[in-house]
Amino acid sequence: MKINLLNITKKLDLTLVGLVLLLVAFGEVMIYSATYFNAPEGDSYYYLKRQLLWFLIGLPAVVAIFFIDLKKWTNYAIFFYAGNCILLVMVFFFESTLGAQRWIQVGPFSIQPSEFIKLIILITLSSYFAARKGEIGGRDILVGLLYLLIPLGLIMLQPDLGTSLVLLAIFFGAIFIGGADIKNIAILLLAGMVLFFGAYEFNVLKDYQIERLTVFLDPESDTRGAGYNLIQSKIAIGSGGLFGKGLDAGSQSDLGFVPISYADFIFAVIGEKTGFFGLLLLLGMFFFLLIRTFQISSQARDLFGSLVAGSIAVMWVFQLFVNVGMTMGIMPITGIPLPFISYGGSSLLTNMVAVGFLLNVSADRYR
Amino acid sequence: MDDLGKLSQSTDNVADNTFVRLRMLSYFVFLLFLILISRVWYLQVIKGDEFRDMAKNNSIRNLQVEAPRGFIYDRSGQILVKNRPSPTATMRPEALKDDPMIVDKLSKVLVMSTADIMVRLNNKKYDPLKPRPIKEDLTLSEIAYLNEHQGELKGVNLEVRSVREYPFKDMAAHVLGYVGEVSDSELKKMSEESYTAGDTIGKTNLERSYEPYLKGLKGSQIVEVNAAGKQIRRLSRNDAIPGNSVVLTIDTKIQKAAEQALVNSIGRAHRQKFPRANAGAIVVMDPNNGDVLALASYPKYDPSTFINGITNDEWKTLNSKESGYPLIDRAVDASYPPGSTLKPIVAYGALKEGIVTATTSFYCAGRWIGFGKKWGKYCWRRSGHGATNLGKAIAESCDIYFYNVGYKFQQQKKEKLQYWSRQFGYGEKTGIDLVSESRGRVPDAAWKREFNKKRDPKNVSWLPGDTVNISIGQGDFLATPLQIAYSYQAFANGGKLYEPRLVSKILDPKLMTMKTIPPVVSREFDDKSYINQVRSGLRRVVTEGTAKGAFAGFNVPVAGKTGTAQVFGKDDYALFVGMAPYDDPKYVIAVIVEQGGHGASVAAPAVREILGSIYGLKDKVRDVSDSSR
Repeated sequence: MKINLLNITKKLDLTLVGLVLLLVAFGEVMIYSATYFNAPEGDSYYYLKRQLLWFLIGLPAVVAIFFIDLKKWTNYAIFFYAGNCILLVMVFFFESTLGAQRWIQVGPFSIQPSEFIKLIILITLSSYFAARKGEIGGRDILVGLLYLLIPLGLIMLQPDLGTSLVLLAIFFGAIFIGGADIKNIAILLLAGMVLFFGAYEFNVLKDYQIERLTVFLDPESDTRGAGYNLIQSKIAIGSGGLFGKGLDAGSQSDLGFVPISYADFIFAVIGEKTGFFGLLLLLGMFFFLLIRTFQISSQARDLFGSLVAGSIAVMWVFQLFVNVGMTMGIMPITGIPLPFISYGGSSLLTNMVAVGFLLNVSADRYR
Repeated sequence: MDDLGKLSQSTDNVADNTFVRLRMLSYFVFLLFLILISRVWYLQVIKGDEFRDMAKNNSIRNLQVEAPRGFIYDRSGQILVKNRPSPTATMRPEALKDDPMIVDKLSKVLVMSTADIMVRLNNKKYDPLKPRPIKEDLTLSEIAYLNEHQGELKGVNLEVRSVREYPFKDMAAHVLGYVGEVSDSELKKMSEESYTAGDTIGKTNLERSYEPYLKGLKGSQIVEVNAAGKQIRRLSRNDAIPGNSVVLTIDTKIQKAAEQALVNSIGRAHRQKFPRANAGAIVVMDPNNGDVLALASYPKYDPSTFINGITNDEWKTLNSKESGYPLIDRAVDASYPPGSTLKPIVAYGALKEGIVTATTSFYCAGRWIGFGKKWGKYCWRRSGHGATNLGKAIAESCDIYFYNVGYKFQQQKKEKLQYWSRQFGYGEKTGIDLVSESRGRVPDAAWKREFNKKRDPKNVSWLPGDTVNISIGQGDFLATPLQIAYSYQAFANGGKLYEPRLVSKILDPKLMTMKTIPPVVSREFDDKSYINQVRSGLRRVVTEGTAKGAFAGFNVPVAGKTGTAQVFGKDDYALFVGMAPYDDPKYVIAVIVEQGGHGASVAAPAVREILGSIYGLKDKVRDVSDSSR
């Protein structure tokens, strides 16, 4: 491939790049603001530095993906898939953190393989359904489901309900965009619900999972356990008011009332410190990012590109809604990070690779 | 949706269907954002103030700052009670819910059983929001461990509490009293005062009666705490005002001497075959101003037992017969028959009432038959005293003389014997600053009718014998050792009764005098000649009468009166009231030894010992065997 600089600037979707850079910068500032007061080893930049490092690691990956023909990726997808499934098995040999085995320790960093599988599944499903040329039958759906089942099962075993749900969201997004019958999708959703309640009835889900999933309906029922986190999160957001308390203030965030303030509940920190206008700014950035992604999807050169971009949009919107909804008490508590904002290297890297895919799809139409 | 406008310029490669579905999806996303933003608006703008208050309540705590309690000094400025810091481990009860293992961890660190920790944690007396003390007076290594492991022991805090310290150990414990946690009933009584559960309050004696001065004013501080309850910063502070200090009239040197003399007297009683002697009291007063120089009571207790909360077992022991009820201040709270020590008062009343003059003489043949031969009453000296006038009657403690006097009082039918007893302070509180003071008892017809109405309905009317019994300090007459010392002031100073003064000054926290308590004359007898007639009789007690042996060879001129009181079912109680130096007495000393036997041989030597110690005499008190009354 010849690299023509002029060509690149013309092909590069600067709107998308700009929005992503803004979001990441916003996230970095908020990670600092959430942790400066209680940073480990007395280093108030501890989390900020690590997150920046992951961003820098992610940059060459974005560049590489931008230049590689996405379709060629699909030829190797099975190897990535297998490799990632092996990583998902490996997590069970590492120490459990907070009652779940999700991480592989590599030197000073923890890697979360369940983050990467999202994109591998997304690419493979897009490729498979694109080949159906808009005619996705019941049999195709079942094949896609089978493909999904192995990593899904492994992730449920960790257990990581949140990521499992993201995978299902990607799947539903792909078949919806790919042209499956609305009737079939409805049947599948219904079957999923029956399965879920079956799992509930036969105690396949752990007690704490059920508790976390249902406590948002009545947080006062458990003011010391799962409900406590939710109440504190709502207090943090609510007390931020219109303008917030400032990046260097906010008793809920700084004094440890908001749980995992720099990762899962970072939206609550932003709410307390920057107030309604800060949240409006954040949600606005996300909204434009998603609109841009839908545009890329609709302008893609082929169905494959549309499916990749559209599924990424579905993945992000699902994560955003579930994470933000959770901090405000309108969605169950699941450990889903807020894309680009929550602290976590694997999550940031995955989302940057997704941006790489989008830039690729976006540039593809000029070919 | 203008942003999606470009969708209409769809490229050929995207099927129309895909295009429509993407458009549906984007509308759905728009809807989701509307939901999120309305929720944000609801939480931050509509409910914002409510959540702001909740955030404040979360992290802002209003803590009480205990005021250091005032000190107690003796008359020369020696500290009798002060405060010392006690490092205390406290725990917030909710911490148990967050970490069920916390009690096990604590039990290892503090070397306490988990059961003991749970008992203190579940102590219902406490304000549920306040951390509860788990262990006081932590060692340095316990403090170090708690500091290092704060992260693992969330909800456990280290507090430095101020507790009482007694430099002279159990000395004067009955004067000082002890402090403890405010009880439920006290809280109810003092609702208008600012006590909350867990506060310290004076429980008995001076700590109780001077509580309003000693306690000071609590301060407060507003602090910010983190989710673990750890203090992050102080937002404001309102300093506590320490309590005022109290200067006593107690003289530590005399107090020590009195307590020692009391112990020695009990030993003396044991040597004189009164093995049941086990308790007693001594009061030393200055008859020129009413200052209480010493108040001794035996058995004693150690007020420091109460510092860290008393256990049930300890409390039971302190209130058991075996321990002799050491919490009772026998000098002030306990009433005894005064026996012959009442005779000088009876004599004064008889002079005032014209029943006798100094020269009136009764013949003592050892037996008195004023109520007929069948009802004969005996003098303690069966061989009799012969012709006995007032001076001799006091000196020899002649019972027959006082039976006659009592009989004459009875014939007056005016209850004048009781009247004069009351004039000397019997039957009512002296007004000393100790809350549990007993009033003693001066029995009369009205009292007997009331008292026996239920107990002994056939015996409700006052009999002449009752008056005769009172005249020798027996019958139902009861007096506290303090009342006895108080009444003898009149004979020491020529007719004045000063209110017993225990506190002379109150000092503010900077030790400046904020209040002086002057001596108060509560009664004055104007018939100096009668007082002096009795007074010279009291001198004769020591020079030639019943206490001659006890003071033989003693260099300080002493006057006084022996007493040996009979108590039904018990050995006789030994009493002596002395005053010295006789010409201008500076000390009035009353001694009682329960079941100690004879006043002259058991109680009088205690007075000699105390005076010897006050005057720095190398005086050796020898045991005398004197069975006079």
